[in-house]
Amino acid sequence: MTSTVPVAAPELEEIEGTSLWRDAWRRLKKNRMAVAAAAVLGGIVLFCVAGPLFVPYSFDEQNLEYGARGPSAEHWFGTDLHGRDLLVRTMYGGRISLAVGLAATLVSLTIGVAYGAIAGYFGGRVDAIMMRVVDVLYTLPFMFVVILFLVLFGRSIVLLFVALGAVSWLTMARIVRGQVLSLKQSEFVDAARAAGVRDLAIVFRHLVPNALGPIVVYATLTVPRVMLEEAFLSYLGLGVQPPMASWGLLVSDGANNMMLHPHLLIFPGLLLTLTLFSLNFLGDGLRDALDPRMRT
Amino acid sequence: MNRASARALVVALALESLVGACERDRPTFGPETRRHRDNVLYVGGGSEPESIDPGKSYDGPGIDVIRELFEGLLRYDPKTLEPLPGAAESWEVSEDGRRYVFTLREGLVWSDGTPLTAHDFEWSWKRVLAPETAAQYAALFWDIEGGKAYNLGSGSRDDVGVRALDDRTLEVRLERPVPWFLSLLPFAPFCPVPRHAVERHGMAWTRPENIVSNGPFRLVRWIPNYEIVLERNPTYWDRDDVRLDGAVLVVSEDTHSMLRLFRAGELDWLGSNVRPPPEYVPHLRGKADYREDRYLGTYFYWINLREDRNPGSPLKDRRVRRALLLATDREAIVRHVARGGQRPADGVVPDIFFEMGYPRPSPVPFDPEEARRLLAEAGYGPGGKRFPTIEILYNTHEGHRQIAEAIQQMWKRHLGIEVRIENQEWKVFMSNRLEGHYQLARAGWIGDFLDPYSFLSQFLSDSDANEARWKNAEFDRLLQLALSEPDTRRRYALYAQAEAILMEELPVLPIYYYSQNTLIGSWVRGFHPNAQDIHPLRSLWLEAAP
Repeated sequence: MTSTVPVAAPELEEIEGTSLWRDAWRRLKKNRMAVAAAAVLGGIVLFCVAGPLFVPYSFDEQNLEYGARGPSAEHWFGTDLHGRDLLVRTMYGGRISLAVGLAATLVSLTIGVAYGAIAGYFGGRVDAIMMRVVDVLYTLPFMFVVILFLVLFGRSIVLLFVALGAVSWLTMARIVRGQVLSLKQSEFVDAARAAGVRDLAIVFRHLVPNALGPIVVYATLTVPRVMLEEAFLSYLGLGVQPPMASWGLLVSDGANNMMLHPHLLIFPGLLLTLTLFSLNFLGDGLRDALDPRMRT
Repeated sequence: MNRASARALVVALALESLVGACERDRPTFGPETRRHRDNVLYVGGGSEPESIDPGKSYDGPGIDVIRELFEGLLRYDPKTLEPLPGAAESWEVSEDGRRYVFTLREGLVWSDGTPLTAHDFEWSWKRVLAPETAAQYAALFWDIEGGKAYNLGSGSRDDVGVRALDDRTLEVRLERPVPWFLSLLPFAPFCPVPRHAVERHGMAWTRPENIVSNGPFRLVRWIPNYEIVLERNPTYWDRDDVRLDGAVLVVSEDTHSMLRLFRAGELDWLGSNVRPPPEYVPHLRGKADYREDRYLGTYFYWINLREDRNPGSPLKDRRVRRALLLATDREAIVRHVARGGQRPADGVVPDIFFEMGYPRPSPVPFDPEEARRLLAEAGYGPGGKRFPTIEILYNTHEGHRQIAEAIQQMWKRHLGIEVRIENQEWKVFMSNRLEGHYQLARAGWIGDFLDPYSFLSQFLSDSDANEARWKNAEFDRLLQLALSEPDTRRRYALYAQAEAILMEELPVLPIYYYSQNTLIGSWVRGFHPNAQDIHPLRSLWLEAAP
């Protein structure tokens, strides 16, 4: 798609400074899949955040006699085994899942990028020590660490974000380190160094933006993984607790009942899949848009 | 229990099964004909047995395996569960009911050919009582002379009233007459263990390569979390009456996948440790291979009353506990959540006993109005103190969660009480429950023998099983009195008085009386529903098996 950008030389009078970000934004807008994905994602966020205002049910109001029934005019998504409205539960579940996915990814992004970039840039003994620490952490069964974390510090949603993020930064650190290792040989780094830019500024102003492609791709993969991990923790009793639900929990409940009540799986499953697909397309678009080497 | 009441029970259960069996041509859930071609029964085994050491095991799946591998002095009648001669061919009881003399069969051997003698029984029983064994079921032996003292560390082994008079004669002396003593003997802890194997291998003696047993089957293979394979024991005294070549117990806690295995014809029977998931029950009812019967068990919530825990908890107020019970619509839970044919419980002694002459407790209505009044009287609600958030603890399981969620909502709606529900993995859950780290905790009690004492004794002030640490001298006195009452009717009347006190004080919230529902292929024969859901494999056979 980069070939669609005209190669004609710009007219000299109109030279205007263009930043990396403005450039990326311009290219992202041209990627139709990415724009569509962003729109869908936006729609889903809106659905989850504002949706409950327009549904006349609460997520925990049960009607045991009514029980699980398929979609109807009153209950668009049907009801679950306790007779609760699935539409509003899916909205609330989405809030939790999206929040967990984004927050934990942000935590892992912050730690992983900083750690990997510093190790890669300074190299030598610093690198060796930092990466051995990562290797050691890799050997710990990470679910065990999360569980320990939650048991030690008590259970709360915020802590869940932190705990999940804190265990998923390792791969990110390795990816960033690899990128930085190959990038630090480039001329622009030499140029920056020659101009007297300080080390940390080189790392975060010059190297990290150039490694954004893989970072973004990996981050979009982290979001769905964290969402699934949250479902697993909830199942163990360490994540979201009933009557609250997350998409992961709704889907695992639905999977258990798919033979009898397929709607319990279809609706939350559809939204979860849609979200994950959109994230992947958006990530794809972002990578294309951000990678400076694709600039023409 | 006496013979008349046992017979009444058999008739009642048989009638129920007649209703279930009158139509033969109803559709089936699983395949219509058997898929496997061998003479081996494929059964759902439930979760991984904690232990298959008869002296130490305490979990359902373990005890079910032990019943096939080992045989006590007596064994279960598959229809009535009345004791039949097992390793013992005859026995005598003294006038006062305190001395039993058992005569063992001639030529009994262990599966490795070693002779099995009365000395093995003496050693095995004393092993259960030995304090260092820490056996869960040791209290069942407390009625044996000197048993309680030895078990609690104050008596000596030699004073325990179990003695092998010679290789084939075992004498047992009891502290007091125990009306149901014989019906205990087929139960796992009373089975003999091979002293020579235990002493040689220590803890590892139950491994397939080391185990020596004396029951109808022997252990061939045990793959953790996968399967347990049994085959007919060629050294069993009654081997010609065992019709199956063997059995495969498929180990899994996932009831949904067990259901799929049955549907695919991989399982002949779901087994007594696996229940169909409740949401499937309405769909399974009416299928020819589904059956639903009453079960000797009660589902309830413990309320922690320990003085050293949860200080200032409103749950320590009896009126609050009563309010919680009145605001729990148990009928709705049974009908719409549990859905397996359970009945709302008005007490802890299950309704199977009602037919045997046990007086029905007075019904507990669903009455949110009265519940709110009681709560206000205790000082909570509008104008009163704010009710703190309370917590229900349960072991991780779909069914328990659904019930807890329903109750959570009922208390919120009717009483305005916020409830947090929390699940824990079984072992963590049990240790928290036993140590009293809970406010309300889910529990189920399944009778070990057919007498209400099995249900009421856990509430005795000094019982370890009394997880609420509820203490009531009058309750203790009535139960003591009942024990020395040989007449069943009068004993039941005393039990009922004690239960009435329990329901006044409510250290527990009874929810429902269990039912046993299962899926079993029409080709499995010799299967009889019974109160304790005990089905010795030796009396089952497969139609048209080679």
